[in-house]
Amino acid sequence: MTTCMRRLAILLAALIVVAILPTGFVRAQSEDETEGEITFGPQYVVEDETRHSAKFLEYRDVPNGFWSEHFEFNWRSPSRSYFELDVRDMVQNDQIIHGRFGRTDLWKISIDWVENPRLWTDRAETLFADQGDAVFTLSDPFQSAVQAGAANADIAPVDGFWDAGTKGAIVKDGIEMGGQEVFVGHHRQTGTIGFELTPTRSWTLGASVAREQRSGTAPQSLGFYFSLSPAEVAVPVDFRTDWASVRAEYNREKFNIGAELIASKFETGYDSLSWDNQLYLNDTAVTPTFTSNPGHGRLTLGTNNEMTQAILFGGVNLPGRTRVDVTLSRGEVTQDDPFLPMTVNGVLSPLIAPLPAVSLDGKHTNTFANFRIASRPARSWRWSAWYREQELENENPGLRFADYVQTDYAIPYCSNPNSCGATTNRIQRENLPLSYDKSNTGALIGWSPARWIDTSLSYEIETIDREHAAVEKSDEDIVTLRLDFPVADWLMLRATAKYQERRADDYNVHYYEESFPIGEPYVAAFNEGSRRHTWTDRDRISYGLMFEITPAPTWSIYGEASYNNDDYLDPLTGQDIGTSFTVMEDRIPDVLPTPPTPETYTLRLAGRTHDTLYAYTVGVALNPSSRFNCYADYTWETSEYGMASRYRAPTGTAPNQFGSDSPLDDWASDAEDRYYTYSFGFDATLNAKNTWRLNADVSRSEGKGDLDTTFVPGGAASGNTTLTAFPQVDTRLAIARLALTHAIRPNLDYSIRWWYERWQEDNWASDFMQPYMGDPTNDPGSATAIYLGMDYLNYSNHILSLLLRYRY
Amino acid sequence: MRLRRLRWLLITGVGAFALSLAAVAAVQEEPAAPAGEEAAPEQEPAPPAPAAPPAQPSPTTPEVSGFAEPGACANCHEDVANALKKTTHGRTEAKTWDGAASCESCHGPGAAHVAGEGDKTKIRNPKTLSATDASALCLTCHERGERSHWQGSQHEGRGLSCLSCHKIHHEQAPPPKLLKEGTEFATCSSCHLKRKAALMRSSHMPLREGTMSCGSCHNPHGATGPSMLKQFSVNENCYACHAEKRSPTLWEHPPVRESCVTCHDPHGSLHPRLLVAKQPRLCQQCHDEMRHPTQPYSDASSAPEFFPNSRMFDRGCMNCHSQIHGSNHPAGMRFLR
Repeated sequence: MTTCMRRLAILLAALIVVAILPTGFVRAQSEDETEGEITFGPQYVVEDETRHSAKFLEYRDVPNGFWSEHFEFNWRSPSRSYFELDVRDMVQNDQIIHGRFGRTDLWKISIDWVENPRLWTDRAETLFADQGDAVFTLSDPFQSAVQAGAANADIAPVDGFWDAGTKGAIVKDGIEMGGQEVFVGHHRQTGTIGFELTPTRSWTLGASVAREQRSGTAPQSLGFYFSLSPAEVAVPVDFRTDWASVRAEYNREKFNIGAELIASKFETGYDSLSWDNQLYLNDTAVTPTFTSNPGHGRLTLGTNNEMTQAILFGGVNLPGRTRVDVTLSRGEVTQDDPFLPMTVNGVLSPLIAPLPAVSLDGKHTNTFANFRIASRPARSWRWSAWYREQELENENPGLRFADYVQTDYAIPYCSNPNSCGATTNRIQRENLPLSYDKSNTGALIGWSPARWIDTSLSYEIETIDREHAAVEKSDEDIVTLRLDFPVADWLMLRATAKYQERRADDYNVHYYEESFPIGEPYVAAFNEGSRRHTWTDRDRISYGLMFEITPAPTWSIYGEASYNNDDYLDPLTGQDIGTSFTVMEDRIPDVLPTPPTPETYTLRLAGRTHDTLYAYTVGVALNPSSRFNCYADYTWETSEYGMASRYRAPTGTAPNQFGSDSPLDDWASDAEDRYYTYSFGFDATLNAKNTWRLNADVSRSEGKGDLDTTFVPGGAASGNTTLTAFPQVDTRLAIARLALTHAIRPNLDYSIRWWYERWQEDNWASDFMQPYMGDPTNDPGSATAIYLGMDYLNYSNHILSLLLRYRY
Repeated sequence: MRLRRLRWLLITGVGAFALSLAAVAAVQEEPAAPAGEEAAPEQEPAPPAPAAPPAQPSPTTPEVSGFAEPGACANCHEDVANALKKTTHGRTEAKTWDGAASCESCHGPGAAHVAGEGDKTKIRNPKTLSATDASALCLTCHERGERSHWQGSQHEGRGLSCLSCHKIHHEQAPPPKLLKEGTEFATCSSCHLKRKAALMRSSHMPLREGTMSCGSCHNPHGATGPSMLKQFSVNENCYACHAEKRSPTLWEHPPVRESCVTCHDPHGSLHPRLLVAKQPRLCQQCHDEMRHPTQPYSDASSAPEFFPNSRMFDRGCMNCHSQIHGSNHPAGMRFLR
């Protein structure tokens, strides 16, 4: 039975149930009330070529044939028992079902079922064979051929293609001739059953269980070395999350108090993925020692975890219209999946020291506390104060690994005798469990001296204490002024101005050196100028305005404007990120026994320099008569992100190797995303009897993304001497819906609908046909890549439907 | 401007002012607003007036007060009463703390209104009340569960009331949650216009498709966390659907643990996976260390055509650093395994 036939059968069965249910209920109890609605009919997707576009169906199922858009059934008895069922998109992959039954004021059982698809691409091809259990292999002859192939080259003639017989050419031919289509997408299904009991006016007791299941595939990228043989496969997804909760609340006129316990368990059907390396058939030892070209690799996928949480909450109403709310929550997330071996490379694995533990035994403890008091002691005055805290106690053990394997390829060793005693000592690594404690304390005073104005001023302090971070303590002062002008029914203005000032303690770029018990301190300390924007000082200013003007009952103008600007500064010097200056200091102070040797060099503060967001909307709504109304609005937005950086190639030889600091290598980049969105709609009644109705909604959105990269005049960033501008990313979406509805009877109508949707995208990151092998002369990194070649196809779909709606 | 210099002055000032207001409030005992009357502008009216028990009929008492006879409202407002029966409001027999039930739960004692033959001045009309008073009426019964934090919330502070979003009496079949605009998205986007526009972006949550709604993440009635989120923090909110991301892992990426919105914009983006900026710049805004992170990566070719570098196309940096949310592999410290 085809899917279409199965759906039709289920739908017909549902319709029969619809017909029988009311009758049955009514016969059972003549005073019972039954009512409901069903909307169903044929739908036809006119366009053939793009109707199955994965972008069009990214999160939904659009049937082509007979379908039921909505079904609702309600039954109520005089004894106040009830049964309610609401179904959207019945038997489709994106159906939503809500069921409720119980007795008003006493108990209720709710059942919810939600499904949605997630399609990742229209096309994906792979050379890998899925052996099951997330094991992906290449054919041995193919691997052997690539291994034996000559190095990539485009020598004679220089034609932009890899020469025949080279590794890149063999991979490219292999994909073109042997690539198999693969489906990349998964399906999410969530079911929830809840029970609520209200034995008295004051008590509410509840319990619920839920299961969320995701199954299918998702893209997973894979790599060896420094991207010499990147690959991508459709990794199987088999996620299951179970939830259970119980809740009790007691409330009286002046207070309420309650508690909730939540438990959840996440399980994945696949904990690791193995794949073959297209460059080598078997693990092959190479010089120097501790290095081996891997025949295959393995990485970890998601881990199982368990979560428990206990919440206490309550509030009390005090005199003077004052309310105090308190919420406390403490939860744990644990994970103890066995570690995978350090490597699956048979040459390297015997050389590796035993792991310090068989599993992480990881645990995060989250504590949340919230206290708020809000009061309106007089009509014109109000105030509130609050304290909010969130603490992540990371109780993961710090595990020290005596050595490690880099991408199943090499066991890195120190190479810097000053930092670890001998060049043959292997680099050790230790994980640093990040913990933090965020708190927000604030107060607000509001004043409304007249009916047409309401103003408030608030002040907050937000602090963050961290463990294992470049900035271990920062605090932010936030001042917000709000002005609302409910001048009259015809005029409303809301304005907000906010100033935030985040200040961090000293920025310590060396903070993660403790992650290198032996080795690589010079790597860790490499960029003294690096400043992660999440940890730097920041000045933020933002403004917002909303308005609605209704000069006459027949029309109104509305709008919204917002502006936000962040500037980032260096906590050590207070200077703007992006600033360059000369310093004299020892750049690798931990290298011993060499005494500190100050040197003069140019330091550029690198990182995000600023970001600015603008958004404006203006619209108009017309309602000239009771039979016609329409609206139109336009939104334009701009997001700008600026960054400053420099190319720092390792120079010199170990142990004194560190980056070049030529100011000529400085570069900067500005990213700008712009969006333009238009909407228009109307609703018209075509005749005096209100039996004919026409309505439409039309919207169009365009997004453009630009990346500008600049060097200092005369500069030439090492390794990238030919700067070509990034092409513009451009997406366009247009949606139009038109419906003509005729009411045959008050409870019966039909509508003829036209739905048009078009989507187009130009995106250099995905607009390539696999195999993409880059430029043979300049990009050997992608010469042997085996990507899925994922891309969404542009679509332009017309959908016609004739839907009958019957209310009973 | 250096706010920290003013910090303690502001704290002291705000605290002293709040205490003085509290003191004023403590000594002021507000008179209850009579049903049907708006409070004096200088004084905030009390919550719904406690209703006296039905007055004993007395021929010598011309003024009638107290509750109306059961069913009296439907005698004149039949359509409204019939529509209300389809909702929980119409079916419940629960009474307010003052003993009012049914229509009088919100409209106050109706005997005088009945006796006055529909005199509108003798009955409370929530539409004419201030936002605070209208909400107080609803909170009489609903100040619990998800509505516990209305007072002091952002929406309450901007002069909104329950009736800004909900409509109790619907002429047609009542929509879910008695929303004024029919759906959550339509209700929220009637004010939050830029959020409405953001959903048209190429990368978006499935709100347009109807599988999610604003209420999937936000609690418009007020919340304990930031941005009126349903959960206590941004990450807790995301973990509610993406439970695989909450696992403690051996190698953790600090910005992932601190906040998902460092890299993702849940309201929509031009870039895949709701990323806030294009790869590789998104990662480079933090990663300026030695070696390949600091390359501009604009193009890998001297050819006139644009040849994106292998570290730029598709997933950019995550072509190799694919386990960017954290890795539990012993060799996964750079999120490659």
